[in-house]
Amino acid sequence: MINMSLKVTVNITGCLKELYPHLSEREVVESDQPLSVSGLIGELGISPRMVLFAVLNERIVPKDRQLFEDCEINLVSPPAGG
Amino acid sequence: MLYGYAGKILTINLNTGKASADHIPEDLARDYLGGRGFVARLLYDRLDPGTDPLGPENIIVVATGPLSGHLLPGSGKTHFGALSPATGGYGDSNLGGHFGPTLKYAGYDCMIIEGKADQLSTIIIDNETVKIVPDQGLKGKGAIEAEQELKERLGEDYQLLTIGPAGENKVAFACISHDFGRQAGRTGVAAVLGSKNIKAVAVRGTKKIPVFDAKRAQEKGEEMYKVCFGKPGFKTWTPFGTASITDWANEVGAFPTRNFQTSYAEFHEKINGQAIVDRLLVTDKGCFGCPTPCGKYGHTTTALGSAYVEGPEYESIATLGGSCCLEEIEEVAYANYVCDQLGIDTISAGVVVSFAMECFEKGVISAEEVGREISFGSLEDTVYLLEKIAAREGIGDVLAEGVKQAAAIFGDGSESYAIHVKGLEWSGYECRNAPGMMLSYMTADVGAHHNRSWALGYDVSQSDADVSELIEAGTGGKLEISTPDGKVDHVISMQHSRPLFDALGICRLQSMEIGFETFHYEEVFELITGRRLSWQEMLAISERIWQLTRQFNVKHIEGFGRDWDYPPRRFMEEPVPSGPNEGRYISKEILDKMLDEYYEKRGWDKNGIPKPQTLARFGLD
Repeated sequence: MINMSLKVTVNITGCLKELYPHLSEREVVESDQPLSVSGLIGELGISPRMVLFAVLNERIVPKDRQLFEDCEINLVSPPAGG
Repeated sequence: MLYGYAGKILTINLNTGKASADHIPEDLARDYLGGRGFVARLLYDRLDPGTDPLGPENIIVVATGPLSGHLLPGSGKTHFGALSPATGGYGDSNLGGHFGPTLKYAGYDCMIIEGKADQLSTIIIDNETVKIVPDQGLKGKGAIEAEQELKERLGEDYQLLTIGPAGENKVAFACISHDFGRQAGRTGVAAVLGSKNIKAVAVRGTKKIPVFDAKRAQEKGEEMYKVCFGKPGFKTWTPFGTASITDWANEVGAFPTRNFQTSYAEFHEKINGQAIVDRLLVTDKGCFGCPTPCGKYGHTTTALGSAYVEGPEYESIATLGGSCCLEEIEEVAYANYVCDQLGIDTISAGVVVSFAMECFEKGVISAEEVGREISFGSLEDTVYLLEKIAAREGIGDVLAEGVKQAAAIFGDGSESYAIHVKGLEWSGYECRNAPGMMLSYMTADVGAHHNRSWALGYDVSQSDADVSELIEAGTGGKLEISTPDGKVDHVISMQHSRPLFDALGICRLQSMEIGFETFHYEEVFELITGRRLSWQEMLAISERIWQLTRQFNVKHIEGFGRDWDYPPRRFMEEPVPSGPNEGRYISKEILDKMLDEYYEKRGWDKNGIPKPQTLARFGLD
């Protein structure tokens, strides 16, 4: 059996930085299990309702999208009005 | 020398037709920075209790900040203030665009307009030359139409402020317009301009602003743009701008719908940011120095007509779309365009119109009084009411005073769903499941406005409880919060950080949405002004301004205190009838606990009045 590990770079934007000050703007998450966007959000301790959308390779992706080795994902928070 | 500042306050006396320029007092710049700080201090010092907001003794202060007009991201902000005709208390609003930087290039950080012109006039500022030109030809013209005409007359290098018919007719929520779709929308400053017979202000400037270390300030500004372009949020912010929040506001049950009867609109996907991009968008539009243009300039076609319009922003979507139930983005955009031409704040307009629709639905006002039958979801009825309001015709004359005054006249229980605080209509977030945001609205100095503290994210990030669990636990859906959960602290913190950008004269969105670090502002502030201030020290100045605006309301509003901080009864007594937050509300008892904690942490007494020792601590005694 091969022990696979997954390394994902996560960029935190907008009010997520303010709401989760323990997170840096750029986090690296490692997992020995397959990981979806939702799973990643949970790993970081972020309320899923505070992620407006996730952007992977410059495309908005659904939160059940599986992540892959060395990918970079942006978690975008809701903007505060106009 | 005050580096970073143009150095002068321009005072225009409309009674005498004379203008004078005075040096900015150094202690004013030291203690209040600029922008919102200048507005608050100058209004506090120069207005006596008992001043009529629409009388010639009221003044309008227009102020830039020390960072306005310099080469750095988002440096195009301008702040406006006056004794508000909407609330009778402290009123301010700000806009982006290009006016503030140009005012600084003309040599003025700040402009005070006092007195009253004897006929409708335009103020024209060309560096040291100031003229007050009678201009009846602009009477009754739309705000954008008037701007276009003045641009053609004066030339493209003039920047303009205009008002529409609503401002001329002193509608309490009239807005100042600039750059064909930017507005200083809130608190009715344009009604004050109208009361002074000023239709427009034009400015051209060709001077330099002294900078402490010009070379390094320019290098730092260029670095700031590069940092901004590299931020992960940069590419995702611009495409949809503020409208990107529409779906989210519905998903978390915070979208005002049917005059805030509920907090979820089933049609929200037809009026969201994607709908703007797919069905309206012509181009993105930014302000002076902006790397992240959030403005959406588009074209709309409806049964009532077609128009080019900037927006709609989220707030306009929430109030005109959600609260009035206009279910197509083209209709929301058209109503937005009508507001822009008439010179009415889209936020208050949507709340006032939807209030009238609910009053009609409940039989509080009749078809005879309105002039026709009206209903939620009708663009035709919405535009009908907007035009009546701007012209102050029939029912429009009552609605033109805002929902607080209209409810006092209509009676019949309508005050419980007149959605405002202190007389200012509520902006785009329904809060019966958001105690932090509710407190933000309740305690904002100008009334129910979101830009002082946007605590909704904090509420949502902390609230995953199922409403059915609350009902089963015997709370009846009443939201239980504990006072030590940090919400009050969070609101207070935001009430210092967000308005600080308005004092500095820069847009907060690069920091709040793109993630721009505050140390950049510390560094560039020092290079521009020669003054070293940490972000924390700047926040302390922002707190001083907050205490001053509270004291301003104590000074000008008879009987001001705790009663002025409550939301409408609907939010304290009526459970949300549908959507994600069905069954929830926040009782007065809970709001009182939050207010008690808030007042104590602010250094105010139980009635919300700043204590003498608090005022002394901020040098306000």
